Amino acid sequence: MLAMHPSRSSLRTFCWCLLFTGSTATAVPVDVTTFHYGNQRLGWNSAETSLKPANINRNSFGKRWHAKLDGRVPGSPLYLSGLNVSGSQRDVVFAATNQNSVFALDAATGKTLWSRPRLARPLIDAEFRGSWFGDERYGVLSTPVIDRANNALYVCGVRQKGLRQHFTVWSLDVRTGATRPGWPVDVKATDGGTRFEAGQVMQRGALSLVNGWVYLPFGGRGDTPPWRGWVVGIDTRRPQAPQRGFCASPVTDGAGIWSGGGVSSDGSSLYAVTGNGDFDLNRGGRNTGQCVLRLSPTLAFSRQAKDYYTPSNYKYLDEQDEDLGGATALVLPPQPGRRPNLLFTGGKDGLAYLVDRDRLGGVGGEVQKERLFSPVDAPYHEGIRATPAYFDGGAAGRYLFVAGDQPGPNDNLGIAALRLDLDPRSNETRFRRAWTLKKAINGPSSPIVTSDGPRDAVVWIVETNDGEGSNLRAYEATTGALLYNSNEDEKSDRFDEGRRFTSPIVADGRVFVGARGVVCFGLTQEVAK
Amino acid sequence: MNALVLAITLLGGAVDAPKTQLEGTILSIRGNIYVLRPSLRPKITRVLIGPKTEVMAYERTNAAVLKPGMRIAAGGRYAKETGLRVRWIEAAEKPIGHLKGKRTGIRTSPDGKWGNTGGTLKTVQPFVIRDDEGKEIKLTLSPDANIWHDFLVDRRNLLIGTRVFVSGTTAPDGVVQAESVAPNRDHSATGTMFGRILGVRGRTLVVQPRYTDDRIQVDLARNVTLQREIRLDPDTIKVGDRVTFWGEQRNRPYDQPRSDDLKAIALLVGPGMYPRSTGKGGGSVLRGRLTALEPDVRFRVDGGKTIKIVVPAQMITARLVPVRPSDVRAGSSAMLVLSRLPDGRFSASSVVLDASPWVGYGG
Repeated sequence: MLAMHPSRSSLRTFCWCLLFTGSTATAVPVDVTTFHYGNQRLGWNSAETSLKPANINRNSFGKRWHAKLDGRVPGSPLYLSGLNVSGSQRDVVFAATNQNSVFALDAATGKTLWSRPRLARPLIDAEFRGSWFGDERYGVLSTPVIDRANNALYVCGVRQKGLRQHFTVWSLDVRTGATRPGWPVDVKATDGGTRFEAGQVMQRGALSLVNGWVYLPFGGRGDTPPWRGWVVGIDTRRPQAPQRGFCASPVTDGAGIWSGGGVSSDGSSLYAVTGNGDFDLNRGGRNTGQCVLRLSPTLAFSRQAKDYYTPSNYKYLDEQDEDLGGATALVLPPQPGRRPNLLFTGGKDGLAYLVDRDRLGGVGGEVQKERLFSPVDAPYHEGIRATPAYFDGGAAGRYLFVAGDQPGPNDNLGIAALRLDLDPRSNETRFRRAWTLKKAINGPSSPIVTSDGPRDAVVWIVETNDGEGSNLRAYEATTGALLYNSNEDEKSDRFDEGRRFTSPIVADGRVFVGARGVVCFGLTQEVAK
Repeated sequence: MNALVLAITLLGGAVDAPKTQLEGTILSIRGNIYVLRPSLRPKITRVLIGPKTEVMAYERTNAAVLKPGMRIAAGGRYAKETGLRVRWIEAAEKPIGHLKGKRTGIRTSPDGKWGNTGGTLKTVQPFVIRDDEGKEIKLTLSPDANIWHDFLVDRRNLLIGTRVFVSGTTAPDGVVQAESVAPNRDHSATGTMFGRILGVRGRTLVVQPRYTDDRIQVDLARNVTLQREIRLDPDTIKVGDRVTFWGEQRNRPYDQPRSDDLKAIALLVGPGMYPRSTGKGGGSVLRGRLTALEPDVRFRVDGGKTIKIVVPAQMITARLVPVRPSDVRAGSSAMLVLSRLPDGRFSASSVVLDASPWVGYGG
């Protein structure tokens, strides 16, 4: 969650207002406690007063430090400002690695403030995927979540205990790294007669913290059957209490919830987007492949059309491996028109989808859908696999930034910026393209946006290149003009192994990127807070 | 098919540009149309296996099999300065399967660090191939290279339940026109099928293969092995228990690096054992006693040393108990090992009631 402090509660309220009014913020430190700055997954930090289009260029902006940790950072880093660690106030970056390790780093220097190496032994390929031939390690695979009020960080990793694999959630004290009382707990959910089987699933989606419950989404391991999508909830106040479970495909394989953004929430409901799998809700069934789902905080699902959406070509999408769930659904702030409450998402088919949050619409009931990436006749579609970002520029307009893997119609490449406007004929908000890049982005991360209120908006994204030669890029948000590309300066700014399915974060004038360790970018003459 | 064979086939595919490659299990056979359930894309696919389709087998071997004149596909790490260091090879006495495709020069990955090539083997020492434009390419054969030998087999190896790797093109109606089909010979016995028994009349069963609405008639062979799988909670298995592990070891002469570690497919309590592939693909069956569960699973083999057990996701933990023919009843799920009789019916040499597929056998 994006929050500011001191006087955190009032400033959080202020920030909340900012999202909807576009008013200007003063320079206050922020916290990044969850993926994409909040449970709405908007990916917008509206309180960035240091980094502006005017000073983001290779002369004044670049790599500050690279903390090479013990492995890859598959999820987004998180950030707390002004945290008391070892008796002094620090701005702290938190990162969890595929080695099941968690690190707290000094945001100014990258030095380790505390670490919890190998909370449990990570799995090798032969254990996780059944292949002798890879050397990857599987530990923490997602973005943790922080409850600042309780000084708690929740992180999920996979481990072997005896003859079983388990997904285990640890709660660490953000000030010391110590495991908090009552933790860790293994994920052990059931839904009706279906039992959660850790060995079937992968936990890539970011953790969400909603009303004291941590929610964890699960997808498959490369679609190797059998697997079932799940959302599991753990009560942080009573970690040993029975867990909540929702199985997205209790009868047949599939319906993984694998987007890096996990599940989103408007505070009263959870929204999950599923991938491949059977869909039979419209025939009285319980399989929810290729759907946007509204779940209650107890993870109850009504199976009514008002609480799910699936494209009318769901069967084709399923057959073609064009998962709807490439992106987490953004819970948009209220929009003008007769349908003010909207969700926005995108799929591997390359289409963007806008649906009515008040009534998701069942089969084919979208407000708008449009192909942004991936040609119709592509032999294999990898259109949208990143969670978009939202920005309200006040008079400059409201935007969505969608990253895509493959070229799309109308020369869409890399990022398609969409402008949200009221369509006078339907009296509904619709999107249309504002700009696109001139060059593709190879393996884009999820983008984020920073701005100082409605001004100085910048889109940040990592081109992962799926390994070596990843690069951080910054674009002016309303025009798409390139401001910075870290590969321009091969000697000092390059880094490797930026991660897909996640995003960089920006906080208090610094950009933090999960890679092999954490890479920090900022102004070369850093502005004192 | 072994993952590395798949890898090299896909690399080879980059040269030959076949449009479709899939691995899956044969669910039904209707004339020349074989219905497959792909392992990684679990959607039913129809495959036409026509008179020109080559039915191939792969066998892992070592460099001694390589002879001048063989058709070769090879891949590995590439650097401009040092050329291609071969980590895997497919070789055949004559051009079959994707080894038939034209190969020229060394193709490299976009990052320039991996490469593949192919052609006809000119000399083994030094390792030189001649590509299809006559250019000689000297390669460095890595001592830990994985080498597969390809050869043709009879299409009667393609049975319901057989897991196969298919290479071909997809017709507009979605049917894959197979150019080559290779039965997988790893782990399970050829003809292993999972399904539900719908009816029993004497020694004849009516079986519905998984994922289909088909009905097939299966006769129990005279010497059929009948067992029932009883799943066990892994948490009930303790240090000191006598168990049997079935799995893969990398301690064969061609494995590099060699290790006695065993990647388990199943942990079995008692004498019962799943039917498995004959020959090299059947894996290791080791009986002994568990010596540790944490931090690693360790196991002392009867009369041998203590080894580490790698426990993959969804390793089966079960006891197999013998049953009588009268225990085979309609309604049971079952694993059957089938062969085809001359009149087209199926004969089962082994039936395991209540058996569910192990991971990787999803298709």
